[in-house]
Amino acid sequence: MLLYAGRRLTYGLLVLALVATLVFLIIRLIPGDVVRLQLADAPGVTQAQIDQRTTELGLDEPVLIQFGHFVGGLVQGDLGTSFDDGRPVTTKILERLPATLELGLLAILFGVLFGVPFGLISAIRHHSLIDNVMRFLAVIGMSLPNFWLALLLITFLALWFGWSPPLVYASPTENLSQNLIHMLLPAIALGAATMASIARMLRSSLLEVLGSNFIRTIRSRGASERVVVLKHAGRSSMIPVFTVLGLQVGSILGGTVILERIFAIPGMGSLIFEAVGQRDYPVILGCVIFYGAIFIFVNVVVDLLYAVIDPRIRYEGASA
Amino acid sequence: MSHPMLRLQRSPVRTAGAAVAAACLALTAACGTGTDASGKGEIVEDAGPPQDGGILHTAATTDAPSLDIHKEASYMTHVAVGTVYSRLVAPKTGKDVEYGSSELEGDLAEKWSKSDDLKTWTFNLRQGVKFHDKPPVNGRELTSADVKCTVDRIKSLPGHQLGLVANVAKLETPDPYTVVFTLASANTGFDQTMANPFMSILPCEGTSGEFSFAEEAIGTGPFVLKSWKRDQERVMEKNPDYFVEGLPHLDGIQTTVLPDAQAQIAALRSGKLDMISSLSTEKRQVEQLLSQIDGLQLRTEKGITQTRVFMNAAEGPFSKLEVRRAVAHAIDKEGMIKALRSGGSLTGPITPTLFGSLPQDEVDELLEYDPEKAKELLAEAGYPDGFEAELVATDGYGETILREAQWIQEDLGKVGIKLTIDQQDYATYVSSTWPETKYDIMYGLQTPMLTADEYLTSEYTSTGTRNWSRVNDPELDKMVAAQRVITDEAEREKALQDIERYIMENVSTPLPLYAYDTQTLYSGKVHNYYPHPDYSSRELQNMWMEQE
Amino acid sequence: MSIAISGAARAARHPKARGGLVRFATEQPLGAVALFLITLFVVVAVLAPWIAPYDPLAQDRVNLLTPPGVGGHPAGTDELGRDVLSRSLYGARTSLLIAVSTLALGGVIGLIVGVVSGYFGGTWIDSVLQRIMDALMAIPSIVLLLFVAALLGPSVRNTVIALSLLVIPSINRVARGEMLRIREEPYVEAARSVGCSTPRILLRYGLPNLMAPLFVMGSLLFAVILIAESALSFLGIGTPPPTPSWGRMLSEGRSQLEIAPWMTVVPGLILSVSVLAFNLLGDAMRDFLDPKQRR
Repeated sequence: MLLYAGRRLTYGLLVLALVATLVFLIIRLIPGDVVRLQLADAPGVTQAQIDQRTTELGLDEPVLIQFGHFVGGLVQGDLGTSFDDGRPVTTKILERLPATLELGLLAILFGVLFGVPFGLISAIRHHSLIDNVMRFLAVIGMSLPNFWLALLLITFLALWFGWSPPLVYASPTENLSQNLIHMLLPAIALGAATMASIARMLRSSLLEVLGSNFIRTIRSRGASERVVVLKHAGRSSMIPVFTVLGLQVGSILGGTVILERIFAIPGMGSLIFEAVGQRDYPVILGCVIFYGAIFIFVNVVVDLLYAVIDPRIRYEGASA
Repeated sequence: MSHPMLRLQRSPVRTAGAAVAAACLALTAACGTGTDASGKGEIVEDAGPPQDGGILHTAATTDAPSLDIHKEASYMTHVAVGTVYSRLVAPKTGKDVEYGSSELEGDLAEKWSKSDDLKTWTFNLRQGVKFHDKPPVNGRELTSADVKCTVDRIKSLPGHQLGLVANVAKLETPDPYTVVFTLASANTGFDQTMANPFMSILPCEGTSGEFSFAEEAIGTGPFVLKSWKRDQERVMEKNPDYFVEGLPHLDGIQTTVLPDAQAQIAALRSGKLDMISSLSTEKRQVEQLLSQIDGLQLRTEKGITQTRVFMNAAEGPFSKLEVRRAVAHAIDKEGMIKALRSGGSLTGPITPTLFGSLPQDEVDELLEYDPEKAKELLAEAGYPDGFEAELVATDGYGETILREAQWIQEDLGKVGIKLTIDQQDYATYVSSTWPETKYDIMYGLQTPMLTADEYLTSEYTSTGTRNWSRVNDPELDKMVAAQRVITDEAEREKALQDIERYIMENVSTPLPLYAYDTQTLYSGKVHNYYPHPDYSSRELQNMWMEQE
Repeated sequence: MSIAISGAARAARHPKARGGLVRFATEQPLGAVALFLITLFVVVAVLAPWIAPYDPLAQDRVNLLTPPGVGGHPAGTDELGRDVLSRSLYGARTSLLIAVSTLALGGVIGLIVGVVSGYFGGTWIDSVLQRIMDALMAIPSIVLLLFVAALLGPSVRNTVIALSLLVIPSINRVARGEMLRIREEPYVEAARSVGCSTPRILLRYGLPNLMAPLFVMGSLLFAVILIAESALSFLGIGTPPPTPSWGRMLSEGRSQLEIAPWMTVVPGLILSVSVLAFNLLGDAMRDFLDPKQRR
């Protein structure tokens, strides 16, 4: 197991290195000296900074050496300093990271808390009215863009119930209840799709398991449907749910960008958005790499969880 | 991110003289009471004696880039820390003072006087004025030395505000409470210059680098900056040692950065916000809010921010005067105001509220909507079948500007100028496209300036600091230089108006369209809000809130 | 997207389940409805210039921000007096253009990578390609899009490029999985043994087998692209004005949400229904092609 964990982690680092490479390449592949051009556009940037950044990105050197510099800085955790306020990019991102992580986790929590029961009920009562209603709701959950859902929630809750989220973001350590109330709407808006995915995935995998010979045997022994589903089928059908979670991380992270903006949450999403507006290149690059790192980390964790739930995976998955 | 409220708050980079504020700003400006048809939204003028206490909750759509009022061109910085600082003198505000009045009152100065040759200005400071009790200044008394430190700092920094003190040849401080300015040339309005929010007096500890003005603001103003969480909130607390007895009334001001307009409106409904600046565009929204929220007050602010069509006078199809004049006549400006703004008035190069501006009827005539005439002018210019061009606009000023750009696109299309819209982000627009004249035709805003001369000199003379349309008209240069030395008021007004007429007829770029009105909504329990169109928000010291 | 991948992967295991449209319709009534909606969507997109009541850019200056039904505008007008219905219909055109271009660009690249990778499954070529795909997948789409938009500036072309980066790894996954499977099929081995060249084998046997799972994947990705495009436009970095786009319309109308809901409800509804239809169709095709799901 340890060996497996080590291997997954190494693999994760490898992919992260590739993310950095890709980011680097995308900048390089864009025609023209875009970086330099964009640097010059950034407000408040001095020629000295442009030259320094050009040197930092090594734009005056051969590509391979440039790449060396880039990776060199990265390995030391040095993502440069922000054009905007001159502070280290890493510091800026780490300040914003907790809010994004919290929002993401709450969205997942919401998705699991509602998605799992919905999926279970749907599977147990499959082809019933309630199943159809829930499936339909799930598909709607997947079809409604999260930003749109968020706007509807924010507007009509205020219009109909005179309620609006707290004005100022409070970190959980400052004021937990205010923090959670602030996070409520964005977490729902963001978690709706996750909920839908989990419910759908759980339903279909449960149905698959329920149709298996193993379950038929149990059922033939007179076990109630509830016992069958919860006790026997549940465990093996949890794996697809984890798959969903691992894959949803990407869209949840992406969704935080818009929702943080709408709800004035000081997370990485609002940071990268501000950075794009200010042409704050080091921050943009730093954020992209950080997002990649979170995604990879979560997926490694999901892989490891799989392995815990179902030891066979270790052998299957190791080669992929 | 694309709501007007969000973007409108970003005004064009401000010039030193642009102290008279952008009207699109929450905490500025009022000129009359706005009411809708139902009579809702009326401002309660007489709410009884002021009550102390309460925290004003307000919102901003973007935060200040930094708190340094000298290094930042963004007026958001002035809005953010305006109430922290004091100036030597400041514009008067109040119920009986006309909006935008240039009448001054002493702020740090108890009294001030000028010599007969208008070259020596003496300011006598109040005694016992204490800085906020924050390290490293620690509540020490303000003296004339701080004034000198401030002026020296402005002189040492690059920036638009340098122009304000460029004329100061010598600054002497004979005693701790006296400051004597000696000017290189006579200036009858030097006290007006000192009333500019850029002239906020900073403590010497800061100018010598003991703390950073970018992150900390220590002044002598009515409110103390308690905390600033960038892009989240600014918290101001009442200054207990404020030099004006009994002020401020409020215990504090809490400003939240809320980029989303819907979120701001929701918070106003739920009572979490006491005040929002509604945008000119959302008049129906405003009407709806007024009819739904009891006691909500609406202040309609007469516009001073101009919308402009910038055309490249040096290159491309718009270098032909006839084409530029065709553009002036092809756009249905009144329709635009009616459809997309809550009000406004057509304007010449000088904003209607300023001395020297053209009479309204004349402006209306010069900018008359007349597509047929536009077509004739185009034919004269050699474009009987029109031509194609790219219209630059930024989403940085909000959705409204983009809508207006599309309105212009349609109008110009009708006379044969087929435009495609090049939507640029604010950074590119303001730092490259505009100042480097990388456009043929562009639509955007112009931050209001303080005087007629500033508009004319900076934008329309060949050597102007903001001549970003590349105007080069020796005749105009001469006229602008000549008006500056006219001392007779009536004569000068006529000269200014002649120049404006000349610009409209012979230059026509940057082509002013209109100055639009804006609206501020605030709760029924907020009283005595009489803003001034500079960015300082000093009027908030007089504001008070009904206590439960 | 999660569902997309696993669903398509599952479908990939059972590609030979084929059947006529009629069987599909009877077995998957929801899928049939979805197919009908999508057909409608495509027809509307293609025929927009003929069926839209007005030019989507024409400004009816007499009828600004009028509610549905007033002044001959069935779904009302926006602040510039443009017909909301016509703009919504043309929005389908913009979305279709972007989605199809994205799928074509991203699909071809993803397909090539996946097929090559799968054919050389287990070798270093496979490993390298797949790690690159993993890396591409690791950057959340919106972040990737913001990044590209920051570098290139907003335009339809750049939106397509940015969204392609999102499509490539998903298509790759399906294609590779399928290739790995058919590589072991007796007929492929037979072809190899008689000396068919690698490209020939890939073309002759690989591609046809890929079509079914790719359709499933394509349908689900279509939904993802529609949402991503609208999110980009909503943020103001997608389709530039005045081109009608659903995301832009939502963004333009959000400040009028309370007073002129039609400005957003119509495009929002059409967007959601389209996304729904593509999701449903993808699901239905997967279930249809997957015997295990048939019960």
